[in-house]
Amino acid sequence: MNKVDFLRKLNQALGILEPNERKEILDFYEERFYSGTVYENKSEAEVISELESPDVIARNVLSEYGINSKYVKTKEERYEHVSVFRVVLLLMFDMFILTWLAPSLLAVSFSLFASLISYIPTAMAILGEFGSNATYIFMFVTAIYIFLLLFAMVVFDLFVFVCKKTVLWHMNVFKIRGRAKVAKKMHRVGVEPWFRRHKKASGFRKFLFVGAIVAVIFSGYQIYKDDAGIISEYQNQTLITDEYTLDVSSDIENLVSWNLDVDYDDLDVEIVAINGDFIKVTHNYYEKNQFSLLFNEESNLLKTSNKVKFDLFNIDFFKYLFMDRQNVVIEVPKELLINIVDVETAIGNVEMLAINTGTLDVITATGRITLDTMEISGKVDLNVATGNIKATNIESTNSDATVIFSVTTSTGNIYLNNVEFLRINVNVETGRVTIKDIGSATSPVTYVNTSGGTGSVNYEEVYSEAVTITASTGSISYYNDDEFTPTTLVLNTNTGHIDQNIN
Amino acid sequence: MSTQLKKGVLEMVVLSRINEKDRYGYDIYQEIDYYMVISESTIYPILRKLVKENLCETYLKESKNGPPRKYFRITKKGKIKLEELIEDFKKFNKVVNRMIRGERYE
Repeated sequence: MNKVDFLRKLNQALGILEPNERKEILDFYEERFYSGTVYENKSEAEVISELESPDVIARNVLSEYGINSKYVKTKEERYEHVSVFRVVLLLMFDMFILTWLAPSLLAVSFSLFASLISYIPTAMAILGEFGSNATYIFMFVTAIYIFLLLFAMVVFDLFVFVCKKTVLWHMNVFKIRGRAKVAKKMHRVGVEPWFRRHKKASGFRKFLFVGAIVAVIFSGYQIYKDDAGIISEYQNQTLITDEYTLDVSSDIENLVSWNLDVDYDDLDVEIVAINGDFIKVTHNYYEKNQFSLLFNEESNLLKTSNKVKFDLFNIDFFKYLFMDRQNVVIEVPKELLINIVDVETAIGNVEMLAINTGTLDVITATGRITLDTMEISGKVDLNVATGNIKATNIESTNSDATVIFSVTTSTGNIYLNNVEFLRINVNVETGRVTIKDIGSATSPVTYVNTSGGTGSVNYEEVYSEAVTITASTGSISYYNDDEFTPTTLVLNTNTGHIDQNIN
Repeated sequence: MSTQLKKGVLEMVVLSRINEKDRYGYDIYQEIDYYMVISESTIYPILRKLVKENLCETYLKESKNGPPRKYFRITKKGKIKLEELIEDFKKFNKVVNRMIRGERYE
């Protein structure tokens, strides 16, 4: 071994250090060689014999840096003895972590984070009219959301922790070179390490936690104390009913079609078909909340909306806990032609019964959508963030390629039964999807596609030329009674089960 | 002498050597090694730490018969620190002496 060998070995053994730190140590030893050879007239071999071995030097140096010597293993230790038993054990454990533990933790933390978004409509609902009781409710709800946020962070950190440990374990079992370096770097990754580095943020988090505890206890006690007061105050309030009617008998006769445009923040809406010549709108409410309704007889448009006021502390939110919800019922004559139905709500539920329409577009953030016994000649778009969607006995009278029944939800469940559209598209992130009775073996529909997430996807009696089901972790089941083979059949899930009797 | 004991005083000893006169790495090692046997490799990280904490600074000095050497010179901050360390050590020494002699210290 000469000087160059010695320095190279030392450089390797110090591999965990940053390049500039390593260079400083190497410079010392280079100088040391000069001292020995040039000034003291020794050979390189003599100098080396005076020095410790590169491994020992590295151990000493690294321990000065506070690095555990277990990371500084010799080459032999590092690359030999990869235990077969440990590899097998690791692979078995991998299946468990990758298929279940890590995805579930991630999904849970994400849905927790996602549910935090509902704080905005909730806070908006509470922020309204001033009331001392609502102040406490606002405090209480806010505190609960803070707990939710902190809990979501803990779960997410757990996910990061599991990932880190898994990676480290792999590197240890396979004795991957430079793993100590990776371990050192990974030590900084995660929610807790971040807070350790950011003292102010950490302090703020502690403050939030303590504040939330205080707020829950304080406001909880206040609500408890005033409980009866709130209930009686609002139970004694009577439900006010306003009715708006419009005679549309001439439009029915002349086959003039109408459009419905509904945009509500906190009202439930129910649209039903009736016998008769009148469009009748019934508004049930306790406190008038910027409700507007307009029959535009020139453009044949029924436009209605309600907005939640942005004053401080609206008590309306609280009423939902104790009373019937405020709602609007729109009754439309069966014979009246309807071209476009456009419904948008923030937290209200949407229900439609026996309506025949051209196109249908429903968007709601946290409400529920229920459609029953409808005849539709255009395309359908149903969009929900967290509510469920249920559609039964829907008929399509148009086979055009643009006529698609598409349903999108993030965390809600979807149930479609006897939806006779030729093209059905379902998109969901964590909800469950059930689709039943579509087409028949003799007259199949064009496609029924589902892009699922973590919930299960169940197809029963779905006869379609093309069926594509993809899911990330959800299970898929597809059963038909009659023998039928789709031309295109794609059933794809990363980790769920697939059960089917279709080839 | 136990390595643990040496470790605790090494920073002070190294500083004191540099305080005496400007020295280069190997010189410092030899000086200390003369009085108490130490591992050469423990000196270099300490020197690095001293520089990093601005307790001493380095400069290159040409030599008659060889390549330049890196010399260490103590800084003002280093001198103050050394005084502190020596003061601490004296106190420590006193206390330990009393204890091992079995005296009570009030």
